[in-house]
Amino acid sequence: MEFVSPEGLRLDGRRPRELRRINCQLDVLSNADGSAIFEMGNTKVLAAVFGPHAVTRRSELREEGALVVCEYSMAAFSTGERRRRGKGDRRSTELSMVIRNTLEQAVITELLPRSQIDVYVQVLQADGGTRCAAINAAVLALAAAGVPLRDLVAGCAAGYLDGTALLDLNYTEDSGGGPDLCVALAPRLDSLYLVQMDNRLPVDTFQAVMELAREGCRTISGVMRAALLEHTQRLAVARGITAAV
Amino acid sequence: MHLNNSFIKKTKKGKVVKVVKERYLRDDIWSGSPLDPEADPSSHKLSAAAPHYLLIDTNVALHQLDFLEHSAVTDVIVCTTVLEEVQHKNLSAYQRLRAACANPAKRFYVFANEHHRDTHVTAHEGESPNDRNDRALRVATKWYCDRIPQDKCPVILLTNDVANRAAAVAEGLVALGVMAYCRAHRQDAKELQDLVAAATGDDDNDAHRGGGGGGAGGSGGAAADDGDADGQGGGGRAAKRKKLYSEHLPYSELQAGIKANKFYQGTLRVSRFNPFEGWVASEHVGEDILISGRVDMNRALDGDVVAVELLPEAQWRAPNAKLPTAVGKAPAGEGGEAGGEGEGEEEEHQEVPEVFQVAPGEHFNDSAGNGKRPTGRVVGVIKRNWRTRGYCGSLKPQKVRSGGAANVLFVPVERRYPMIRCEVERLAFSVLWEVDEQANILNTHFTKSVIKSRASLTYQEAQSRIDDPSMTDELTVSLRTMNQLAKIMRARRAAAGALQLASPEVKFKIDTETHNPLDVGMYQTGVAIETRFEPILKAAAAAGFALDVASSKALAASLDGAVRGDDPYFNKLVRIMTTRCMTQAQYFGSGDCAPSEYHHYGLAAPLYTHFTSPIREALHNCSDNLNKRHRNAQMAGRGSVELHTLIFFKDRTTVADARVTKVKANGLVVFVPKYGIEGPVYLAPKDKNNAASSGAAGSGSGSGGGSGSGSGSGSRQFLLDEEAQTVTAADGSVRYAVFDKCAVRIAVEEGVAHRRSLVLTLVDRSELPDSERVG
Amino acid sequence: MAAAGAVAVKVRALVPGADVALIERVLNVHDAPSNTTFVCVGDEISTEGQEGFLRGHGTQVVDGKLVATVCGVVERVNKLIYVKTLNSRYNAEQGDVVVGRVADLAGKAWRVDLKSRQEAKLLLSAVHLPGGIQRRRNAEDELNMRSFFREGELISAEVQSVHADGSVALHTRSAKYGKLVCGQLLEVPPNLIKRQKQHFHTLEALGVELIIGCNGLVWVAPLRPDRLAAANAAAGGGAGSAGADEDEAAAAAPPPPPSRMQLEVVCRMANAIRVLTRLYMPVYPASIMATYEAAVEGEVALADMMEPGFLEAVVGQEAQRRSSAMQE
Repeated sequence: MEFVSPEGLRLDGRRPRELRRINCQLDVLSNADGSAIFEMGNTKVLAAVFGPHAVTRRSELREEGALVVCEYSMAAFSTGERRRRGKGDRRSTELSMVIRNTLEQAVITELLPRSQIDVYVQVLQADGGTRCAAINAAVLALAAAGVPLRDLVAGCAAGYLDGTALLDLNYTEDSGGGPDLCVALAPRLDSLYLVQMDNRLPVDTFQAVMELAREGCRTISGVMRAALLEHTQRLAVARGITAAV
Repeated sequence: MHLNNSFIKKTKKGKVVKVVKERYLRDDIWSGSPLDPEADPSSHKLSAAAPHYLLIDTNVALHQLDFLEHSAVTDVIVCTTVLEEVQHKNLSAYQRLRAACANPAKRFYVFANEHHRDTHVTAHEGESPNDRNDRALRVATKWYCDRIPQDKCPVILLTNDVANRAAAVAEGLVALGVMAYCRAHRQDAKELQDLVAAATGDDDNDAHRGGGGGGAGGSGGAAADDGDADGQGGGGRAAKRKKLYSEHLPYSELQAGIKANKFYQGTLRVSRFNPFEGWVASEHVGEDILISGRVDMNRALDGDVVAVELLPEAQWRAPNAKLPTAVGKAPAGEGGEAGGEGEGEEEEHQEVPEVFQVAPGEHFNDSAGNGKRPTGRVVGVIKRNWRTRGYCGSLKPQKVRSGGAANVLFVPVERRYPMIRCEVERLAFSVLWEVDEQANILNTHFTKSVIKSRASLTYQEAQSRIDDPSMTDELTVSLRTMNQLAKIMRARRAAAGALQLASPEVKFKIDTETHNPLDVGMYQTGVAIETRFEPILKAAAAAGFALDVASSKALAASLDGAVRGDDPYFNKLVRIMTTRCMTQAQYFGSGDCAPSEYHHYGLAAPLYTHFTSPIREALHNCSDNLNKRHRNAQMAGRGSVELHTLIFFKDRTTVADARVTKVKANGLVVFVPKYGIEGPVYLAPKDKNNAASSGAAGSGSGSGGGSGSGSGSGSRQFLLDEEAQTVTAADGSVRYAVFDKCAVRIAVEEGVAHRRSLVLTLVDRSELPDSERVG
Repeated sequence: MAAAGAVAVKVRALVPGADVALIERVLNVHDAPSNTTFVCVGDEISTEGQEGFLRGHGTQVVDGKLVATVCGVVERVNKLIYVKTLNSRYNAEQGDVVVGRVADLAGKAWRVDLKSRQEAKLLLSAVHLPGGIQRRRNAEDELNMRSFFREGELISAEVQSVHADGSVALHTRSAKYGKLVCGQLLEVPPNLIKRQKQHFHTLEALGVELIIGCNGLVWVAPLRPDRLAAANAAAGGGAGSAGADEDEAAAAAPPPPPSRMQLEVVCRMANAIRVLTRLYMPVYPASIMATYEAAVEGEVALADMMEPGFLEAVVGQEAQRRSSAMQE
């Protein structure tokens, strides 16, 4: 299969270094403390944050910081084939761990001792890059819930197909068999919170793909920042904070 | 701009899933022409000095590649719509087109119209993909026309589709057929006209396109010059392919035809030597119907129950006197199905100009002269002789981990049948005989009963009990009594004419004495419905003695008399051939056949009954099951023998004594007694080293009829005499008759797909070592 | 409701972001004066001209620069710079009036769910005993804890103290605090609630009692005569023995059921709060009353209060109020 045409267009019409269309929605659930929908092309992920609140299981209580609990699941309708998906399967468990690890680094946990933050991530539509989209949605939901964060962490995937480094693989490209690199970056601190890759890649190629993924993370973070700022402003205006001054 | 393409697809597993794919429409795709002021300079590929730009459609790209690849054809716009379609249809054409696009001298510009904001086209409701693509190309042409000054450099839509052309003209575009374009615009390069695919004469092709819009993209009727067309061209092509076989008739029609005596039902028996010749037994016709040739056999396989239509007498044929020439070829069944167009027909024709002529003579059969037999053709298959993979007795090559292949022999899981359960009371229907010491039946009593088996013994166990003098328990004593009675009954049967037949396939010795007592129970049901002694009678007559087949006793007697002084093995050979002529004993439920058909020829008894357990009796398909299992067991045996024979002769080429069992116009069928192998030997020099036949002595008593029409110049000609069962070289130097002695070299050859087969070649008898001589 | 023979169920498609769009349109979010600094997580906060600033909540220092850790509004108080989040969990402060639900009994205390960051406890020693007797709580009292508050019951209380680890201690040592029955509980983001002098409101004219908990839980109930008396007593001379006596009397004789009118007012009031919540508007007595009155004046049916039409009217009213305030 040809993933990049000689004209430099990918199957869906993007160029190799282009992201898909991003859309962020904040506070979509009224029950959660913070919630967000992060869309990237046809990938759509909903995240809900509950907390910080007192730990539910005393045995897990941490004196020094907050406990981040994460649960990843895929909706039955998220893929073309409707399938009932359990929460406890290997992939979900692994992804829950990955997201949790990333978020634990992003949240300033020491400010919230003895408390717990629940993050529920559900994939509403899956079209590649759910891992990164889940991280992005979770970060947005955390920010919306007013949880202190070190940085606006963003995740982005990149791959290498047909001799070209490709940013933000969709499902077709993801299943193309090439290496798939998933990165979460704190743009201001310029530190990587997550690097995951399946398949092998020569070191020099890896550098290029990595740089591309970091670039993608910065862009995504910028989009997320804009969405959060707009949301903040909206809340402030509705509350009359600006008018009061 | 952003767009979602959504379609519904069926997966390999048969699930229906919805596939949604994104498509981003861009505004940074340029026209690639310096004439377009908006185009990015880096994208310039088309020449500013070109007299015109060509925009091709899919058919042109698919079928006019030679034209496109000509150096005079430059400045062509290839839309991604076209590229995608070509890639889908013909990968090699796609690669050629891509190569042309990559060539800077050709100035082929790929315009990603499917990803361009202004030229992307969404299919209308009910619009076929074909029409959509045509429209997309027109939109792309229009787009080009709008930004490239048309007075300077017109854009021509090159298509052979009349409808598309008309639509384009209606939209104010310039559209031309390939030929028309060459004539009108390319007077500078006349040779281009020759490159235009011949069959795609514009009007011709258009008519085709207009009619059948179904075929995706309608790859023109005859993709004549499309050298690499790999046979899966397009819809039109497949439809035009001529039919190889006539369609099998539906079951209802077959039944009606059989009732009306239009068709005859029977089991197809494919000839042992020719996969395209078979026989179907029919009571109505009175003798077997010959099915000759692949077309008449109409995809039926050996063992299928078929409906046959008798051909008019004028078309009756004689059975093929030749051995099939292609031995190394793939097995018949597969070859017939997979064969390409016209292959079957060719083969039929090949058979007509024969090098070998059948000697006319009085035929054993009194049907129409010239050896012609009632000939029919298969019109439908009533019941397939399905053998799914891994049936019992089949030898199947199976991949092994080391990379080679191993032959796996399938045998039934349940080997002992019927299962005898001991110490369990069961309801049965029994016959009780009162028998005296001479095994005369004094009294017979049929009754419903409750039986309880005392023991379940294998033959071996039973025999060891009988033989062990220390065993004096009740069971053993009764076994001995049964054994004695059985011996008496056996002797009596022998006296009545039970045949002592021989089979070449049995390689291990059976102690018939011990085997028989229980065998009586196992093997007694049977009927020889029809025996065909014709071949052996012919052969025997040729050999100079007569066989009497009127009754089994007479047959037994005449078999005993068939002795040749110079060949002690002769008698055995005759017996083997006689066995072949008899039908396999069949198990059947009483009531399935008329009582007159109950008869066991071999065992010389009018009736045999096999009592089985009541449970099995109740099963309707019990007798079918028994027959199937019996056949499977035999096949397993044959497969095993075949395998071991191959293993034995691998790397061990041997010369062995052989007997001719059958003569054909171009070869012999010989039987090697030592190894129990039977196989064809070719007289004609199939290859250079088959010179052995010349050495054999023989007086030329050629009663030849027609002389060879010799198309093969160097090949020697042979004449077959059906009556005398001899085959003679045209020059009279060699002559073979049935039962003649000869010598063969046995070797294992690797044929198609590493399939090993045993090959026999005739050698001079002097090469035969003395130790190998039989008889 | 009773008059309607058949209950008509109105089904409306959920339009995501419709409320947000409404706010943006009517309140001119994008044109709003930008005299306030909004920051997002990771944004740098300018500290120009502020030597020796004090780092407050929602900020961190990275490479000598002040960086926000939450999204919100930058507030500067003298040298202190902090970021006020617009949406976060309730952070308890001493003296806050809260509404909570009893989660379970833990030894000598009730654990109360306040929807706060840390758990809240109401000690047995922090409740009034019947009859207002002041004495040490013995084991018997401990066994009888369920006769005061059971699991799942709603109570109103006051934050007594906040511990260093963030956990909260409550008390109900006033007649106005205690069990809440026969009313509606509403959940409001705590940031929408302003801390005020009064959180108990008795609207005698309407016969409604309103408790705006600082933790974002709001209680609306028909005013009961006994509660009115209790409230009066509390307002008059604190928790006296007289109030306690009345409590007992009330317990003895169940109060008369509220009238239909009262119930309707309660529902309307509750809906008014819901509307405000949906529109991210502050919830305090004046805004609630304004919305309530708008609904009454506009003769909006109870069920139609959540319809886009009324929402728009409320936002329009708010915009008008603000513009007039600006002019003044």
